[in-house]
Amino acid sequence: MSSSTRFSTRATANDAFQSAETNGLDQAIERGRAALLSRQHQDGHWCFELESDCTITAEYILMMHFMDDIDDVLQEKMARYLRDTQVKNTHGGWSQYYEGDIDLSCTVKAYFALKAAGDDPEAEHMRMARKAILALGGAAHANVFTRILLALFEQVPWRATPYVPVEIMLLPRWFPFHIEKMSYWARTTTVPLTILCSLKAKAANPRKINVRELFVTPPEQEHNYFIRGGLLNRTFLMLDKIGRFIDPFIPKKLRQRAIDKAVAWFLPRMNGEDGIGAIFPPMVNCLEVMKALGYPKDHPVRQTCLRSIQKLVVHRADGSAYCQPCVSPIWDTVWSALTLMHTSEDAGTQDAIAKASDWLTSKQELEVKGDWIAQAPDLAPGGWAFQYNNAYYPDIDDTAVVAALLHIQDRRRGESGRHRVNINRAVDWMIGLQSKNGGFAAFDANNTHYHLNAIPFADHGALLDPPTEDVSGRVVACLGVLARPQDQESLRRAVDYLRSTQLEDGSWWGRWGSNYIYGTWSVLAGLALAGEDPRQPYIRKAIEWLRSRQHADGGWGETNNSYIDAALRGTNHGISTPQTTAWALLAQLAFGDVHSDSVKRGIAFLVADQQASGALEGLWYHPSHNAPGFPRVYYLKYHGYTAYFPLWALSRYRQLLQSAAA
Amino acid sequence: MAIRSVGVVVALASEAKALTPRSTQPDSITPLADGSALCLSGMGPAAARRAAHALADAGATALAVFGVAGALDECLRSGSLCCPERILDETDHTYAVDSAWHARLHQQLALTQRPLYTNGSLLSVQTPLLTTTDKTAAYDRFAALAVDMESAAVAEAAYERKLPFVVLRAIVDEAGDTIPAALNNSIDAWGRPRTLRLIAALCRDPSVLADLPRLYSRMQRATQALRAAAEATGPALAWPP
Repeated sequence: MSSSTRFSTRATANDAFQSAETNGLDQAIERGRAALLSRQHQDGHWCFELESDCTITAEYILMMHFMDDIDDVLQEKMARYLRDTQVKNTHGGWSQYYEGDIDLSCTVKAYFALKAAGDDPEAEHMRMARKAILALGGAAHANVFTRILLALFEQVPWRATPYVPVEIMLLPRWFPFHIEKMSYWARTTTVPLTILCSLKAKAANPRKINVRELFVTPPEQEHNYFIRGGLLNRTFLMLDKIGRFIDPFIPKKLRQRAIDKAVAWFLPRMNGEDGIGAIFPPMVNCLEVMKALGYPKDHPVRQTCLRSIQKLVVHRADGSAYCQPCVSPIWDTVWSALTLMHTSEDAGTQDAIAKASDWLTSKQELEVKGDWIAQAPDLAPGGWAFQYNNAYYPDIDDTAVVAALLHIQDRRRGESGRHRVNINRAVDWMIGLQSKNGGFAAFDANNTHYHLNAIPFADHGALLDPPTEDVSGRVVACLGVLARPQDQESLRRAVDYLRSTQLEDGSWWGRWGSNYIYGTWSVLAGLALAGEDPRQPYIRKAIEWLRSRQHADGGWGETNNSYIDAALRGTNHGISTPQTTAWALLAQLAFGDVHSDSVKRGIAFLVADQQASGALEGLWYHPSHNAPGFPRVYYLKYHGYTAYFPLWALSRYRQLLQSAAA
Repeated sequence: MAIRSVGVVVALASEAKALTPRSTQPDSITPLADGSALCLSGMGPAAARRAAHALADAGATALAVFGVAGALDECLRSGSLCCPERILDETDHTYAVDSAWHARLHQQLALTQRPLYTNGSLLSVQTPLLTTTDKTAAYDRFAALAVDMESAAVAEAAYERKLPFVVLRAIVDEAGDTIPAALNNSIDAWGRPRTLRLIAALCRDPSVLADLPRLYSRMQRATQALRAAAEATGPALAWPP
């Protein structure tokens, strides 16, 4: 055989291989598109499940016991969920995230809830959990929020909890502990909580559930509820005791004024059936406060508040049920719409995107001046929330992506003026909340009062909302897409902020997604759209870092343990996950890189990893938690991340291949 | 109101809380379980005497004193329980408590697993001993375990009315503790907070703030001990023996 024939044979084989690959890609995109479209709601939005750890579900059960309003059927379904999520094959307790270590506070709450639900403390799974809790020093060592819950149920004395008097409502704005200095989630959670703590509210607890067996020392005799740290921490503990000493001396009138002020603060923020802050913890605290203050059960505000909590419950086909911390419709809808853009030109898909855009447009907040007004008094509202409705707390992250989507959608349809007003209002609002360091936070500007994280109340260290790399990357992407001349200075400052936050190995940290691969994708996608030259060493370094983390099977994965140990950056014991692989691919594709071996192998992994059958056919799946709610404290599993990100990576790859060939 | 069992004299509202969840009013009798009752007397011997007689008039068949005391003996730490055999006053009167009742009380208090002192005496004084110097002097003269202001008056009333009596105290301040006089004045006779007085005291001498965390911890331990004691004995304080 001559060399030329050999060559041509190989060429044909290559072609065949290529076309088989493309066929596989086309089929995967087609299946993914159909699966995603089939999950769109009638009105044009998407909303995937948003799961966390066991705590929200355990707190739901205990809330029913606090209120003396127990739905036994729901309780049993939730108890099933808790039993199912116990890690029985290793540590015997509950973790914050899939394959994480045992978490004492999660385990205490889950055990308490299961006992409340009627589980026999001598049952195997309860004994196992109890043993694990006692081995970690018992419930006395659980975190502050868990100890407050235990105090409400009279399981620990109030001195086991930090002193957070409701009188903080009366502090002047310059005061170091003013509520405006906290992040939105801490603010909405804390305001009602201070009332509960100051009243020393008691759970109704009709079934007299106790968990004394979870303490090594009887809780009344325990004197080490607080870890004594450095000087600052000891000073705060002294102040804590002084506060407790002085508490009885606070005049009744003053206390009543503070309570009235706290109630007057949260009532306008109740947010209908979406609930205060549209997140679970403040809703529950407000409901319990209303009971403590004697609001009757049929009081409309109390009833609506209860409904807002009930609406978070997800019933599963297997007969279990769990409670979501919040819902993610805006976030899911905007990513789903962006994902579908390059999957197909057919009218059905394009209509779905148009419908999603219309739905998103209807959700923009143009009226309410939310809590952000404290940082930017002259700013006009214009943001989108993360949830269906959360007027007081629009989310810069969502706002950036929605504004970009509407702009791209208008451009594609040749209707460049259609959403101009919406887009301008959104971008002006975001830029008005740019922090001094050039970065963007999720809900506020310059929320960097780090001393707050030293107070005993803040043992979770999640009291603040400082600017982060990923949100800033998204804003940079949005500003880059829009290319408004008046934003150039803001854009430059944000890009400088991103350059300054790059880590020595080339990656960026991920605050709102797990973890450095997510952060690096968020930033690189932004820099690419802002027109940064990909040949710059710092961008090459980031891409090189991503490639160095690729697994032999072509995918990427990243463990949440990387929030604890930075040496685990971009690693997952060699196990690839679809969402992380998608982010690593999208980061490379952002700079038009379609021909590298790394990208091809990543794409092949995703094609092979798609669910071929079952309920999730056409989507992807992985059990891992894929985002922090709060790093090292609380994690989330966006069920949507394995639905749209892999599909987006595939369709973006195909689109770039086609334009490269053209 | 008819009492069929023990009448308990309690000086302060915070002490009464350890015995009953019900709210108590100054100078009035609050019924407890099983025919016993408590009288919230306020601080000092005169008030305690009035309360003891009021309880006896209402039909109490035995008298008890319940609350916190200051330690004179260095062994007694805050949160210890003290159930003395004898009560002394400053004029060298001695009153023995009912021995059978004392023995039964000892037995039940032992279940609390807390430090418990039942051999020895308790001194009752007219005005509070606030400084280490005063306490040391009192210990050198009387060798008592602890000091309060009400027990001798109640003991005297019990003797007059021929009623058995006991004393159950939890230690709040230790022998080495000094209580700033300013703070002592910031509560009224029934232990109710006087906000303006506290503010005035802190303005006059802000260094008092530094004593607060320790005092708070002492009060916590004493209150816990009282609660544990009440839980172990019941509101009738182990009566009848």
